[in-house]
Formats: sequence, C-alpha cells, structure tokens
Amino acid sequence: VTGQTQYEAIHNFVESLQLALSCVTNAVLRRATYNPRIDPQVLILNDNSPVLLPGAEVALHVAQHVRVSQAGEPSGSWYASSVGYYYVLMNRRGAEILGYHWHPIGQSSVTEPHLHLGPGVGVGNRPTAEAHLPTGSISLEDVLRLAIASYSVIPRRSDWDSTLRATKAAREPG
Amino acid sequence: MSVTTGADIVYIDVLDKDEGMALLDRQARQFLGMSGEQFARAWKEGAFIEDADRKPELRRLAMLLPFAD
Repeated sequence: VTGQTQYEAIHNFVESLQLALSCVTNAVLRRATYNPRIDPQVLILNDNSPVLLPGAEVALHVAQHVRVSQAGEPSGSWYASSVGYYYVLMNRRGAEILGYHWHPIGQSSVTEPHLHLGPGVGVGNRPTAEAHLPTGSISLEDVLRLAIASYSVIPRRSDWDSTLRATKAAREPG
Repeated sequence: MSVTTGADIVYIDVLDKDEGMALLDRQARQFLGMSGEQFARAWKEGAFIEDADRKPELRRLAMLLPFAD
C-alpha cells in the first residue's frame, strides 16, 4: 500500500484492513500512533482480544505488524507492507481452531508463514498438534472468507465478496 | 474513541506507545501474572522459546512487544 507520506501509507494499509473486517464485525482496529520508536508498527483488533463473529460459534483474533519504507517508484512515495501477523479463529470457549501465524522477527526457529491446528480442532496427536504447517503468506481476507465459507459466519455486508477482493488487491504489491 | 464501523465509513482508533505498553502490562498480568516489562525482558532472554508456539497467550502478548522496545 503506497502513500505520499509515511502516515498516508500506514493509514491506507489500516483502512483497507478495517474495511475488510467490517464484512464480519463492527470491532475496531487500533494502530500505534506513527512513531519511529515503535517498529514494526502494531495493529490490533478489539484491544488484542478475540471478537465473536455473527451467526457462528467462532471468534476472531487479529494482530498485525506493518513496516513503512521508501518505495522505489514513484519517487518519494512510501510503501506499507505486512511484516508479521497473528490471525486466529477460535471457538466460543477460547480454544484455538486455526492459527495463522507469521513472526519473522523474534526467537522462534520458524520464521515462515505457517498454520497451527489448535486444541479446538481436537487434534490429539502430538506431532500434528504442535506442527508448524507451511502456508505461504495468508491475507486477512483469506481468513475472513474461510470463516464465512466454512464456519457459518454471517457477513454484515451484502457486498462482502467484492469488498474482500478489493481490499486484498489494494495491499498486494504493485 | 470510535467503537463501531458503518457499512462504508471506516473508523480507526489509535494508541500511543504508553497506551500500548499499558495494554501489554494489563494482558501480561492477566495471562502470566507478571508485568509487561517483566514479560518483555523474559522474552528477550529466551525464557519462552520452548512454549511460544504451544501457548497462544505468549504469541498474542509477543505481538505487542514493539511497544516495549
């Protein structure tokens, strides 16, 4: 997502995520005030707590790390991109069902995007229950679409399909 | 603070470094019984390496660590 200023780039990034989220929840993203001392930038949904989704027995937890850098073209513009995420679907009791994680910065030996099958799936087999299943990069829209298609979440907007397509496309590298 | 989203209008809320640190502190106390600063220090020292991917609350707290740097 580009912008003429660092603020505009991050704002456009956050706005597209919030618009995507509006398809399933009225919960609000909070982002860090733009501050070079906060790196990467942090975005959290519902004060870093799960949100119960409409029509279903699943809740969504979203946290996102974003970094803003100078874009090559057009000259002088700024580019905001995801540098980590925590997208989790959990059951009503708070047990994780699916955990899409990417934490390239930090201490984990797994720095590629991956999926955890959580206790909410009922996977008792220890290697599988603790495995980091490779996924490639996952967008928030992918998870929201999955929630609607497979977990009986009722969209809040009639234009949810086109909205999710548009917001995902808006954040894809040019 | 905006707390709802309309169909087309998007509200985005903001938190500064102190508010982010306060949130980390509150959730670290809730989940682990330690302060946010204690959690940040222990995380940097590698105290949670073994458990970080087994205990969702640790990864959830770790997403707030940029506020503690």
